[in-house]
Amino acid sequence: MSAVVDSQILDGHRQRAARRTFVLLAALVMLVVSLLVDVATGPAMLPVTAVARSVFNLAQDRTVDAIVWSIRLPVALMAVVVGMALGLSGAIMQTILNNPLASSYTLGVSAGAGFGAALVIVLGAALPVPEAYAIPVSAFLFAAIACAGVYLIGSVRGATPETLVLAGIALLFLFQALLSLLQFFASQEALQQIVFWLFGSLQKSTWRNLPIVTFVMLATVPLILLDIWRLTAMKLGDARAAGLGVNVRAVRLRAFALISALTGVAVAFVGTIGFVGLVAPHIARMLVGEDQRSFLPASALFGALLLSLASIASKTVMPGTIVPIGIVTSLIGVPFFIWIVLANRRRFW
Amino acid sequence: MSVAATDITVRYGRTIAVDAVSLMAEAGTVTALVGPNGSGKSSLVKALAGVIRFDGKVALPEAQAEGRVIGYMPQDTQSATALTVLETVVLGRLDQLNLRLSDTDVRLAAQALADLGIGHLAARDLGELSGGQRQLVFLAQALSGNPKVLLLDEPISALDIHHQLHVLQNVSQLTRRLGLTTIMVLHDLTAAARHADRVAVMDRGRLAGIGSPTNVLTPALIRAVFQVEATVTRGADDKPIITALACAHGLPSV
Repeated sequence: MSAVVDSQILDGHRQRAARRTFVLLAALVMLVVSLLVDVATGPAMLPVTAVARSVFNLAQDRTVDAIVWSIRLPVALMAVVVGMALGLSGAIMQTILNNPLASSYTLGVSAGAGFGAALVIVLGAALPVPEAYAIPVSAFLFAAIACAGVYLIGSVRGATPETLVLAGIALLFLFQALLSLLQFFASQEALQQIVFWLFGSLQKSTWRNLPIVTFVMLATVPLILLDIWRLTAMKLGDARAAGLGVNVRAVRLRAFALISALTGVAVAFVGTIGFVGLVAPHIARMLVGEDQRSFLPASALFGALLLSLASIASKTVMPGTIVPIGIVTSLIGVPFFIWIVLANRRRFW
Repeated sequence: MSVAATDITVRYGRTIAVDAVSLMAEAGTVTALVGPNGSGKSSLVKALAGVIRFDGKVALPEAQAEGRVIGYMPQDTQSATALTVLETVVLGRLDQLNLRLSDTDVRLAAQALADLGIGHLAARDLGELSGGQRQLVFLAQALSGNPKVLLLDEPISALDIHHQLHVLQNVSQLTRRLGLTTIMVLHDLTAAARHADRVAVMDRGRLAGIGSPTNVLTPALIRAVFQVEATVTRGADDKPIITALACAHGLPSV
């Protein structure tokens, strides 16, 4: 081969790698700005500069520090971490199922978590954990049960992506039906609590539960890295991935365990939040492609950015009221998603 | 070392796709696997590649220090992904990749693309390519892993005649030069006769014949297996040219 073509391909590869790094850095910068604006936004609007000084410990203002550190920062950081977890789990799901419509929300995992939460609300906390954690633990467990259910049903006759997607849709309807049944028998008070939980809310975020979500999110990273090239190979379909030496079933099983942990812990503390796990991977795919080394971090960053922006919107669309975050993400997410699909149709799916 | 498959049986539920087939292929040779639709060609190749469950035994050569045992190219299916051609070919050496791609990784993939004359496609998204271009990319991927055994399932089905010849000649040359054991599924009997050292004919899951193209691809066997009246003539280079004339007893069952 001519050295000219060789160096052209190498240069092209380096340019693409540099462009992807730039996209990731730009997303990170936007996320930091969004985080600061989110903390600044609320009943008492704070200057972003004052928030930045407080967050980075550059100056001390007792009132600002109290609002920032005691009230708003855990909520804003929770939006970031949960957004990352949802974006990442959605991206992994779309990769292993080779389906752009896959996400924890569309394939019943979030519905499982919702049912788990509602079960505790209606029947009372019977789990051997502190009461404050009974709902999150149950939501987490049922997210895992839903994930395991999707995998097991889909594996009965060989785990093809199509059977797994159909299994996910079946479980979505099952958990929605079970949830409706619980709501039918629930007291007025419990019903109200269930509905509010299902809306999704960041307002219960505290410095105590934020590290749990963060830890689980970070713990998945090395496990994802171990399979990063195998996940990329699975974008070529099961047969090609297997031909490249990938144990497709084993990778899919490990990926489902990660999705279960990421979705479970995210939904457990903030309720069901739709569209972030679906939309963030689409934005990432559009900007950095599907080499999972860039695609997964980009999906996490855009998931975080979307939820952080939604958090700002939830406090500003109706002054004096915090609109539940799940409603905001769906309202923003639906038209945005339609635009992405129409703008890129036939190219990637 | 050669590839030796013994009593390979592939079942899909109650259907037996490959029925106790034994096959031996020598290093440095190309074996063409031909047969009607549904005769078990792809299933046999998948079994040899180890990507489906099967009964029987497959003995393969040992891998080289920096290479794979098998380079397998499945039949083309729609792969609408946002991976670039270069990223796709790089995956041919999946076991040897670190988190960060080295210049060597990129150069080897670029070499495989250039060998097939598609270096100019390196930066394109796979989803933007034609079926034929994609087929060449996946062939480059199979070759980039530096395999000892090359298993190609219909590698020229979507290619124009120029690229068909280009691919078949390349595969033949690489097979001889690198001492590969190549087994490829083909539908074009003339292409099989002209570019393979041996032809194996599959019929309803069994081997109906195996040997040199001139010995195996006779009008009688073609009539029996494909239910087609055909003539076999010789080209200027003395290689067989098969011309299908008419269906012998209606369409073959698939």
